[in-house]
Amino acid sequence: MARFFSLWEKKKGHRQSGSRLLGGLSAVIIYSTIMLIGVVLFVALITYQFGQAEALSLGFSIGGFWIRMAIILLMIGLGGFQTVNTLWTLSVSPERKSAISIKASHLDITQSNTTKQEEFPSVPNHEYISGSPGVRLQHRLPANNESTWLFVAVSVLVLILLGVASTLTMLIANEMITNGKVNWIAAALCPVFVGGSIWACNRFYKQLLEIAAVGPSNVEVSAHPLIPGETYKVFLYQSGLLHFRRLDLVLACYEHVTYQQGTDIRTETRRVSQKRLLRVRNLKLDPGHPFEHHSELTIPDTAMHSFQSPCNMVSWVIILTAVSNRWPRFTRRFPIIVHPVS
Amino acid sequence: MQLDPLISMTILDFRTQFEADELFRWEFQIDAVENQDILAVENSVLWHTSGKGDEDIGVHFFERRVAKKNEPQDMVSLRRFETQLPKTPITYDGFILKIHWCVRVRVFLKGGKELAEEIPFRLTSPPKTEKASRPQLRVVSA
Repeated sequence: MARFFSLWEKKKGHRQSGSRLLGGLSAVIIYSTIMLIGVVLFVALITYQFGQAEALSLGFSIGGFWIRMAIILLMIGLGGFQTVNTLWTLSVSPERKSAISIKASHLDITQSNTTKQEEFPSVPNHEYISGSPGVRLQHRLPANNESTWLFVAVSVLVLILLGVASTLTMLIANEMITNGKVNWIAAALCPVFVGGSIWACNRFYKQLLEIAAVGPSNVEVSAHPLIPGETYKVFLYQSGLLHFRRLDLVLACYEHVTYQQGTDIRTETRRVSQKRLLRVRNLKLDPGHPFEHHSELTIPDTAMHSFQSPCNMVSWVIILTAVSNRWPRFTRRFPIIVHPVS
Repeated sequence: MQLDPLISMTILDFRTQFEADELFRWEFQIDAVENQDILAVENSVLWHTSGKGDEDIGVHFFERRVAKKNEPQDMVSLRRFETQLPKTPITYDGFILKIHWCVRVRVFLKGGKELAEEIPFRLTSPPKTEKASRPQLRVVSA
Protein backbone atom coordinates (compact mmCIF):
# COMPACT_ATOMS: atom_id res chain seq x y z
CA MET A 1 0.00 0.00 0.00
CA ALA A 2 1.37 3.38 -0.99
CA ARG A 3 2.30 5.60 1.90
CA PHE A 4 2.68 9.34 2.12
CA PHE A 5 6.14 10.53 2.97
CA SER A 6 6.10 13.10 5.73
CA LEU A 7 8.29 15.94 4.58
CA TRP A 8 8.44 17.97 7.78
CA GLU A 9 7.79 15.36 10.43
CA LYS A 10 10.53 13.19 11.74
CA LYS A 11 10.19 9.52 10.96
CA LYS A 12 10.32 6.77 13.57
CA GLY A 13 13.31 4.55 14.11
CA HIS A 14 17.02 5.14 13.57
CA ARG A 15 17.75 8.43 11.93
CA GLN A 16 21.49 8.20 11.53
CA SER A 17 21.98 7.44 7.87
CA GLY A 18 25.76 7.93 7.77
CA SER A 19 28.68 6.51 9.69
CA ARG A 20 28.85 7.37 13.38
CA LEU A 21 32.64 7.56 13.14
CA LEU A 22 32.60 9.93 10.15
CA GLY A 23 30.00 12.16 11.82
CA GLY A 24 32.07 12.27 15.00
CA LEU A 25 35.27 13.04 13.12
CA SER A 26 33.56 15.93 11.31
CA ALA A 27 32.44 17.32 14.67
CA VAL A 28 35.98 16.95 16.04
CA ILE A 29 37.42 18.82 13.03
CA ILE A 30 34.89 21.67 13.42
CA TYR A 31 35.35 22.04 17.20
CA SER A 32 39.13 21.71 17.12
CA THR A 33 39.26 24.35 14.35
CA ILE A 34 37.23 26.71 16.56
CA MET A 35 39.66 26.01 19.42
CA LEU A 36 42.71 26.57 17.20
CA ILE A 37 41.34 29.85 15.83
CA GLY A 38 40.74 30.88 19.45
CA VAL A 39 44.34 30.05 20.41
CA VAL A 40 45.75 31.93 17.41
CA LEU A 41 43.56 34.96 18.17
CA PHE A 42 44.56 34.78 21.83
CA VAL A 43 48.27 34.91 20.95
CA ALA A 44 47.67 37.67 18.40
CA LEU A 45 45.65 39.74 20.84
CA ILE A 46 48.21 39.46 23.63
CA THR A 47 51.12 40.22 21.26
CA TYR A 48 49.31 43.21 19.71
CA GLN A 49 48.19 44.60 23.05
CA PHE A 50 51.65 44.38 24.66
CA GLY A 51 53.31 45.74 21.51
CA GLN A 52 50.88 48.67 21.39
CA ALA A 53 51.32 49.34 25.10
CA GLU A 54 55.10 49.48 24.77
CA ALA A 55 55.11 51.59 21.64
CA LEU A 56 52.56 54.17 22.70
CA SER A 57 53.00 53.87 26.49
CA LEU A 58 49.25 54.26 26.79
CA GLY A 59 48.45 51.04 28.61
CA PHE A 60 45.51 48.78 27.75
CA SER A 61 42.31 49.95 26.16
CA ILE A 62 40.26 48.22 28.83
CA GLY A 63 36.82 47.78 27.19
CA GLY A 64 37.83 46.48 23.78
CA PHE A 65 40.57 44.25 25.13
CA TRP A 66 38.40 42.44 27.68
CA ILE A 67 35.48 41.95 25.28
CA ARG A 68 37.82 40.42 22.70
CA MET A 69 39.49 38.34 25.39
CA ALA A 70 36.10 37.01 26.63
CA ILE A 71 35.05 35.99 23.09
CA ILE A 72 38.40 34.29 22.44
CA LEU A 73 38.35 32.42 25.76
CA LEU A 74 34.80 31.31 25.00
CA MET A 75 35.97 29.96 21.63
CA ILE A 76 38.88 28.10 23.25
CA GLY A 77 36.71 26.74 26.08
CA LEU A 78 33.78 25.67 23.93
CA GLY A 79 35.98 24.23 21.17
CA GLY A 80 38.21 22.38 23.63
CA PHE A 81 35.33 20.97 25.68
CA GLN A 82 33.39 19.81 22.64
CA THR A 83 36.51 18.27 21.05
CA VAL A 84 37.29 16.24 24.19
CA ASN A 85 33.61 15.33 24.68
CA THR A 86 33.20 14.14 21.06
CA LEU A 87 36.44 12.15 21.20
CA TRP A 88 35.31 10.53 24.46
CA THR A 89 31.89 9.73 22.97
CA LEU A 90 33.54 8.13 19.94
CA SER A 91 35.98 6.05 21.94
CA VAL A 92 33.47 4.72 24.49
CA SER A 93 30.62 2.34 23.72
CA PRO A 94 27.06 3.54 24.56
CA GLU A 95 26.74 0.78 27.20
CA ARG A 96 29.93 1.82 28.98
CA LYS A 97 28.91 5.48 28.90
CA SER A 98 25.52 4.60 30.38
CA ALA A 99 27.12 2.36 33.03
CA ILE A 100 29.48 5.17 34.08
CA SER A 101 26.68 7.74 34.30
CA ILE A 102 24.36 5.36 36.22
CA LYS A 103 27.14 4.46 38.66
CA ALA A 104 27.93 8.16 39.16
CA SER A 105 24.26 9.01 39.78
CA HIS A 106 23.99 6.25 42.40
CA LEU A 107 27.04 7.38 44.36
CA ASP A 108 26.15 8.49 47.84
CA ILE A 109 28.61 11.29 48.55
CA THR A 110 27.62 11.45 52.22
CA GLN A 111 28.96 7.94 52.87
CA SER A 112 32.13 6.57 51.34
CA ASN A 113 32.00 3.29 49.39
CA THR A 114 28.22 3.13 49.36
CA THR A 115 25.78 3.38 46.51
CA LYS A 116 22.03 3.87 46.72
CA GLN A 117 19.97 1.34 44.88
CA GLU A 118 16.69 2.48 43.40
CA GLU A 119 13.77 0.14 43.90
CA PHE A 120 12.13 1.28 40.67
CA PRO A 121 14.77 2.55 38.24
CA SER A 122 13.55 5.04 35.62
CA VAL A 123 10.29 5.64 37.49
CA PRO A 124 9.86 9.30 38.54
CA ASN A 125 10.02 10.14 42.22
CA HIS A 126 6.56 10.22 43.82
CA GLU A 127 7.51 11.94 47.10
CA TYR A 128 6.32 15.38 45.99
CA ILE A 129 2.82 13.96 45.46
CA SER A 130 2.64 11.39 48.24
CA GLY A 131 3.90 13.93 50.78
CA SER A 132 0.88 16.21 50.37
CA PRO A 133 -2.00 15.13 52.64
CA GLY A 134 -5.60 15.55 51.53
CA VAL A 135 -8.67 16.70 53.45
CA ARG A 136 -11.11 13.94 52.42
CA LEU A 137 -8.71 11.29 51.13
CA GLN A 138 -5.11 10.32 51.79
CA HIS A 139 -3.27 12.45 49.19
CA ARG A 140 -3.97 15.78 47.54
CA LEU A 141 -2.61 15.91 44.01
CA PRO A 142 -0.61 19.01 43.04
CA ALA A 143 -2.02 20.82 40.02
CA ASN A 144 0.08 21.47 36.95
CA ASN A 145 -1.74 24.65 36.12
CA GLU A 146 -1.71 25.51 32.43
CA SER A 147 -3.95 28.58 32.84
CA THR A 148 -1.35 30.38 34.95
CA TRP A 149 1.39 29.87 32.36
CA LEU A 150 -0.97 30.92 29.59
CA PHE A 151 -1.83 34.05 31.57
CA VAL A 152 1.86 34.90 32.03
CA ALA A 153 2.51 34.33 28.30
CA VAL A 154 -0.48 36.46 27.27
CA SER A 155 0.58 39.23 29.70
CA VAL A 156 4.08 39.36 28.18
CA LEU A 157 2.59 39.37 24.67
CA VAL A 158 0.25 42.25 25.58
CA LEU A 159 3.16 44.30 26.92
CA ILE A 160 5.29 43.72 23.83
CA LEU A 161 2.50 44.39 21.32
CA LEU A 162 1.28 47.51 23.14
CA GLY A 163 4.84 48.80 23.36
CA VAL A 164 5.50 48.33 19.64
CA ALA A 165 2.07 49.72 18.61
CA SER A 166 2.44 52.86 20.73
CA THR A 167 6.03 53.43 19.52
CA LEU A 168 4.91 53.15 15.89
CA THR A 169 1.97 55.53 16.50
CA MET A 170 4.26 58.08 18.13
CA LEU A 171 6.71 57.77 15.24
CA ILE A 172 4.01 58.45 12.65
CA ALA A 173 2.55 61.37 14.64
CA ASN A 174 6.00 62.91 15.23
CA GLU A 175 6.92 62.66 11.55
CA MET A 176 3.64 64.25 10.49
CA ILE A 177 3.85 67.13 13.00
CA THR A 178 7.50 68.00 12.48
CA ASN A 179 8.01 67.34 8.75
CA GLY A 180 4.45 67.10 7.45
CA LYS A 181 5.27 63.74 5.87
CA VAL A 182 4.01 60.24 6.42
CA ASN A 183 6.41 57.46 7.45
CA TRP A 184 4.94 54.81 5.17
CA ILE A 185 6.83 51.84 6.66
CA ALA A 186 5.60 52.70 10.15
CA ALA A 187 2.10 53.39 8.77
CA ALA A 188 2.00 49.97 7.13
CA LEU A 189 3.16 48.16 10.25
CA CYS A 190 1.03 50.09 12.72
CA PRO A 191 -2.40 48.51 11.92
CA VAL A 192 -0.91 45.01 12.29
CA PHE A 193 0.43 45.74 15.76
CA VAL A 194 -2.68 47.68 16.83
CA GLY A 195 -4.87 44.74 15.71
CA GLY A 196 -2.59 42.30 17.54
CA SER A 197 -2.70 44.46 20.67
CA ILE A 198 -6.52 44.53 20.64
CA TRP A 199 -6.67 40.74 20.25
CA ALA A 200 -4.05 40.20 22.99
CA CYS A 201 -5.81 42.64 25.38
CA ASN A 202 -9.10 40.79 24.81
CA ARG A 203 -7.37 37.46 25.53
CA PHE A 204 -5.63 38.95 28.59
CA TYR A 205 -8.90 40.13 30.17
CA LYS A 206 -10.59 36.79 29.44
CA GLN A 207 -7.71 34.96 31.13
CA LEU A 208 -7.80 37.38 34.05
CA LEU A 209 -11.54 36.89 34.52
CA GLU A 210 -11.18 33.13 34.19
CA ILE A 211 -8.57 33.05 36.94
CA ALA A 212 -10.77 35.24 39.11
CA ALA A 213 -13.99 33.36 38.37
CA VAL A 214 -12.72 29.77 38.39
CA GLY A 215 -11.75 29.00 41.93
CA PRO A 216 -9.29 26.40 43.15
CA SER A 217 -9.62 22.80 42.00
CA ASN A 218 -8.60 20.00 44.35
CA VAL A 219 -8.24 16.37 43.39
CA GLU A 220 -7.49 13.82 46.11
CA VAL A 221 -6.78 10.10 45.86
CA SER A 222 -7.01 7.35 48.46
CA ALA A 223 -3.48 6.01 47.83
CA HIS A 224 -0.35 6.96 45.96
CA PRO A 225 1.62 5.74 43.95
CA LEU A 226 -1.03 3.83 42.00
CA ILE A 227 -0.66 0.23 40.82
CA PRO A 228 -2.20 -1.39 37.71
CA GLY A 229 -5.30 -3.44 38.43
CA GLU A 230 -6.09 -1.60 41.67
CA THR A 231 -9.12 0.63 42.24
CA TYR A 232 -8.80 3.90 44.12
CA LYS A 233 -11.18 6.52 45.44
CA VAL A 234 -10.99 9.99 43.90
CA PHE A 235 -12.42 13.17 45.34
CA LEU A 236 -12.94 16.33 43.28
CA TYR A 237 -13.56 19.78 44.75
CA GLN A 238 -14.25 22.71 42.45
CA SER A 239 -15.23 26.17 43.58
CA GLY A 240 -15.87 29.35 41.58
CA LEU A 241 -18.52 31.66 40.19
CA LEU A 242 -19.17 30.25 36.76
CA HIS A 243 -21.85 28.30 34.98
CA PHE A 244 -20.19 25.37 33.20
CA ARG A 245 -21.81 23.72 30.24
CA ARG A 246 -19.74 20.63 30.88
CA LEU A 247 -17.14 19.47 33.38
CA ASP A 248 -15.02 16.36 32.74
CA LEU A 249 -12.54 14.44 34.85
CA VAL A 250 -10.39 12.11 32.77
CA LEU A 251 -7.58 9.68 33.58
CA ALA A 252 -5.06 9.69 30.74
CA CYS A 253 -1.70 8.22 29.84
CA TYR A 254 0.74 10.09 27.58
CA GLU A 255 3.92 9.27 25.73
CA HIS A 256 6.35 12.18 25.44
CA VAL A 257 9.38 12.02 23.19
CA THR A 258 12.13 14.56 22.56
CA TYR A 259 14.28 14.49 19.47
CA GLN A 260 16.78 16.58 17.66
CA GLN A 261 15.88 17.65 14.15
CA GLY A 262 18.69 19.61 12.59
CA THR A 263 19.52 22.27 15.13
CA ASP A 264 16.05 22.16 16.74
CA ILE A 265 15.05 20.11 19.75
CA ARG A 266 11.43 19.06 19.39
CA THR A 267 8.99 17.36 21.72
CA GLU A 268 6.00 15.31 20.68
CA THR A 269 3.26 14.11 22.97
CA ARG A 270 0.63 11.48 22.25
CA ARG A 271 -2.30 10.44 24.42
CA VAL A 272 -2.20 6.65 24.36
CA SER A 273 -5.11 5.84 26.65
CA GLN A 274 -7.84 7.66 28.48
CA LYS A 275 -10.80 6.87 30.67
CA ARG A 276 -13.52 9.30 31.71
CA LEU A 277 -14.06 9.31 35.45
CA LEU A 278 -16.78 11.94 35.58
CA ARG A 279 -18.94 14.11 33.32
CA VAL A 280 -21.28 16.73 34.72
CA ARG A 281 -23.49 18.91 32.54
CA ASN A 282 -24.91 22.35 33.38
CA LEU A 283 -22.97 22.87 36.54
CA LYS A 284 -23.58 26.16 38.30
CA LEU A 285 -20.99 27.17 40.83
CA ASP A 286 -21.28 29.82 43.48
CA PRO A 287 -18.97 30.55 46.42
CA GLY A 288 -21.44 29.08 48.91
CA HIS A 289 -21.90 25.82 47.03
CA PRO A 290 -18.67 24.39 45.63
CA PHE A 291 -18.92 21.21 43.59
CA GLU A 292 -17.80 18.08 45.43
CA HIS A 293 -17.80 14.60 43.99
CA HIS A 294 -16.51 11.17 45.00
CA SER A 295 -15.70 8.67 42.28
CA GLU A 296 -13.38 5.73 41.63
CA LEU A 297 -10.55 5.12 39.23
CA THR A 298 -8.97 1.87 38.15
CA ILE A 299 -5.59 1.67 36.51
CA PRO A 300 -5.91 -0.97 33.75
CA ASP A 301 -4.19 -4.32 34.41
CA THR A 302 -1.97 -4.03 31.35
CA ALA A 303 -1.04 -0.40 31.89
CA MET A 304 2.55 0.79 31.58
CA HIS A 305 4.07 2.27 34.70
CA SER A 306 5.31 5.87 34.78
CA PHE A 307 8.65 6.08 33.06
CA GLN A 308 11.20 8.83 32.63
CA SER A 309 14.52 8.90 30.81
CA PRO A 310 16.39 11.87 29.32
CA CYS A 311 14.51 11.90 25.97
CA ASN A 312 11.43 9.72 26.57
CA MET A 313 8.64 9.61 29.11
CA VAL A 314 5.39 7.83 29.91
CA SER A 315 3.21 9.90 32.21
CA TRP A 316 -0.16 9.47 33.88
CA VAL A 317 -2.38 12.40 34.64
CA ILE A 318 -5.88 13.23 35.85
CA ILE A 319 -7.27 16.04 33.69
CA LEU A 320 -10.04 18.38 34.75
CA THR A 321 -11.65 20.16 31.81
CA ALA A 322 -14.49 22.63 32.01
CA VAL A 323 -16.38 24.21 29.14
CA SER A 324 -18.57 27.24 29.63
CA ASN A 325 -20.63 29.26 27.17
CA ARG A 326 -18.86 32.53 27.71
CA TRP A 327 -15.26 31.65 28.56
CA PRO A 328 -12.60 29.63 26.81
CA ARG A 329 -12.20 26.01 27.94
CA PHE A 330 -10.02 25.71 31.02
CA THR A 331 -7.88 22.69 31.83
CA ARG A 332 -6.10 21.66 34.98
CA ARG A 333 -3.77 18.68 35.10
CA PHE A 334 -2.95 16.59 38.15
CA PRO A 335 0.05 14.29 37.55
CA ILE A 336 0.09 10.89 39.25
CA ILE A 337 2.75 8.21 39.42
CA VAL A 338 1.97 4.61 38.48
CA HIS A 339 4.25 1.87 39.79
CA PRO A 340 4.38 -1.63 38.30
CA VAL A 341 2.85 -4.61 40.06
CA SER A 342 5.49 -6.06 42.35
CA MET B 1 40.15 -14.33 3.34
CA GLN B 2 39.85 -13.65 7.08
CA LEU B 3 36.56 -14.48 8.76
CA ASP B 4 34.83 -12.03 11.08
CA PRO B 5 34.90 -13.10 14.73
CA LEU B 6 31.78 -14.92 15.82
CA ILE B 7 30.02 -14.15 19.09
CA SER B 8 27.89 -17.06 20.32
CA MET B 9 25.38 -16.15 23.04
CA THR B 10 22.67 -18.08 24.83
CA ILE B 11 20.10 -17.19 27.46
CA LEU B 12 20.40 -20.17 29.75
CA ASP B 13 16.73 -20.56 30.57
CA PHE B 14 15.91 -20.82 26.86
CA ARG B 15 13.03 -18.37 27.01
CA THR B 16 12.56 -14.75 26.04
CA GLN B 17 10.22 -13.52 28.75
CA PHE B 18 11.32 -12.80 32.31
CA GLU B 19 9.58 -11.28 35.28
CA ALA B 20 10.90 -8.43 37.41
CA ASP B 21 13.35 -9.55 40.13
CA GLU B 22 13.89 -12.87 38.37
CA LEU B 23 17.36 -14.37 37.97
CA PHE B 24 18.65 -13.90 34.45
CA ARG B 25 21.50 -16.18 33.32
CA TRP B 26 23.39 -16.14 30.06
CA GLU B 27 26.64 -17.32 28.53
CA PHE B 28 28.78 -16.38 25.57
CA GLN B 29 31.99 -17.25 23.79
CA ILE B 30 33.95 -15.71 20.95
CA ASP B 31 35.10 -17.84 18.03
CA ALA B 32 37.12 -17.42 14.84
CA VAL B 33 39.53 -14.96 16.44
CA GLU B 34 42.79 -15.31 18.32
CA ASN B 35 42.89 -14.28 21.95
CA GLN B 36 45.70 -11.77 21.34
CA ASP B 37 43.69 -9.99 18.61
CA ILE B 38 41.07 -8.84 21.13
CA LEU B 39 41.50 -5.52 22.92
CA ALA B 40 38.42 -5.60 25.13
CA VAL B 41 35.11 -7.38 25.61
CA GLU B 42 32.04 -5.63 27.03
CA ASN B 43 29.12 -7.63 28.29
CA SER B 44 25.92 -5.90 29.36
CA VAL B 45 22.24 -6.36 30.17
CA LEU B 46 20.40 -3.20 29.25
CA TRP B 47 17.20 -1.53 28.15
CA HIS B 48 17.02 0.92 25.28
CA THR B 49 14.24 2.97 23.74
CA SER B 50 13.19 3.22 20.13
CA GLY B 51 10.47 5.15 18.32
CA LYS B 52 10.24 8.79 17.50
CA GLY B 53 12.41 10.17 20.29
CA ASP B 54 16.17 10.07 20.55
CA GLU B 55 17.44 6.80 21.92
CA ASP B 56 17.94 6.43 25.66
CA ILE B 57 19.86 3.55 27.14
CA GLY B 58 20.04 2.20 30.68
CA VAL B 59 22.56 -0.43 31.67
CA HIS B 60 21.55 -2.85 34.41
CA PHE B 61 24.63 -5.08 34.30
CA PHE B 62 27.98 -4.13 32.79
CA GLU B 63 31.34 -5.86 32.69
CA ARG B 64 34.38 -4.83 30.66
CA ARG B 65 37.40 -7.05 30.31
CA VAL B 66 40.55 -5.53 28.87
CA ALA B 67 43.54 -7.47 27.60
CA LYS B 68 46.62 -6.62 29.65
CA LYS B 69 50.13 -6.64 28.22
CA ASN B 70 51.99 -8.85 30.65
CA GLU B 71 49.04 -10.75 32.03
CA PRO B 72 47.41 -12.98 29.42
CA GLN B 73 43.66 -13.31 29.87
CA ASP B 74 41.38 -15.77 28.20
CA MET B 75 38.96 -13.51 26.37
CA VAL B 76 37.38 -16.05 24.05
CA SER B 77 36.34 -19.05 26.17
CA LEU B 78 32.82 -19.74 27.29
CA ARG B 79 31.79 -17.61 30.28
CA ARG B 80 28.57 -17.65 32.27
CA PHE B 81 26.91 -14.76 34.05
CA GLU B 82 23.84 -14.12 36.10
CA THR B 83 22.07 -11.08 37.44
CA GLN B 84 18.82 -10.33 39.21
CA LEU B 85 16.64 -8.31 36.86
CA PRO B 86 15.24 -4.98 38.10
CA LYS B 87 11.56 -4.17 38.59
CA THR B 88 11.54 -1.39 35.98
CA PRO B 89 11.35 -0.35 33.22
CA ILE B 90 9.27 -3.22 31.87
CA THR B 91 9.19 -3.94 28.13
CA TYR B 92 6.79 -1.52 26.47
CA ASP B 93 5.36 -1.37 22.98
CA GLY B 94 3.76 2.05 22.68
CA PHE B 95 2.80 4.29 19.79
CA ILE B 96 5.79 6.60 19.56
CA LEU B 97 7.91 5.00 22.25
CA LYS B 98 9.08 1.41 22.75
CA ILE B 99 11.28 -0.01 25.47
CA HIS B 100 13.37 -3.09 24.70
CA TRP B 101 15.58 -5.25 26.89
CA CYS B 102 18.56 -7.20 25.60
CA VAL B 103 21.80 -8.86 26.58
CA ARG B 104 24.62 -7.50 24.45
CA VAL B 105 28.25 -8.45 23.92
CA ARG B 106 30.60 -6.03 22.21
CA VAL B 107 34.08 -7.05 21.10
CA PHE B 108 36.83 -4.51 20.35
CA LEU B 109 39.54 -5.84 18.08
CA LYS B 110 43.05 -4.59 17.46
CA GLY B 111 42.98 -2.26 14.47
CA GLY B 112 39.82 -0.47 15.63
CA LYS B 113 37.20 -2.96 14.44
CA GLU B 114 34.21 -3.44 16.69
CA LEU B 115 31.53 -6.17 16.70
CA ALA B 116 28.36 -6.45 18.71
CA GLU B 117 25.80 -9.20 19.14
CA GLU B 118 22.62 -9.10 21.19
CA ILE B 119 19.66 -11.24 22.21
CA PRO B 120 16.44 -9.38 22.97
CA PHE B 121 14.12 -10.50 25.75
CA ARG B 122 10.99 -9.19 27.44
CA LEU B 123 10.85 -7.95 31.02
CA THR B 124 7.33 -8.08 32.45
CA SER B 125 5.66 -7.34 35.75
CA PRO B 126 4.73 -10.37 37.82
CA PRO B 127 1.04 -11.28 37.64
CA LYS B 128 -1.09 -9.54 40.18
CA THR B 129 -1.75 -11.70 43.23
CA GLU B 130 -4.63 -11.06 45.56
CA LYS B 131 -3.47 -9.67 48.85
CA ALA B 132 -3.83 -12.09 51.73
CA SER B 133 -6.63 -10.98 54.00
CA ARG B 134 -5.41 -9.32 57.13
CA PRO B 135 -5.85 -11.60 60.18
CA GLN B 136 -8.63 -10.40 62.42
CA LEU B 137 -7.72 -9.35 65.93
CA ARG B 138 -9.37 -11.49 68.50
CA VAL B 139 -9.86 -10.61 72.13
CA VAL B 140 -8.77 -13.50 74.21
CA SER B 141 -10.18 -13.48 77.67
CA ALA B 142 -7.79 -14.17 80.46
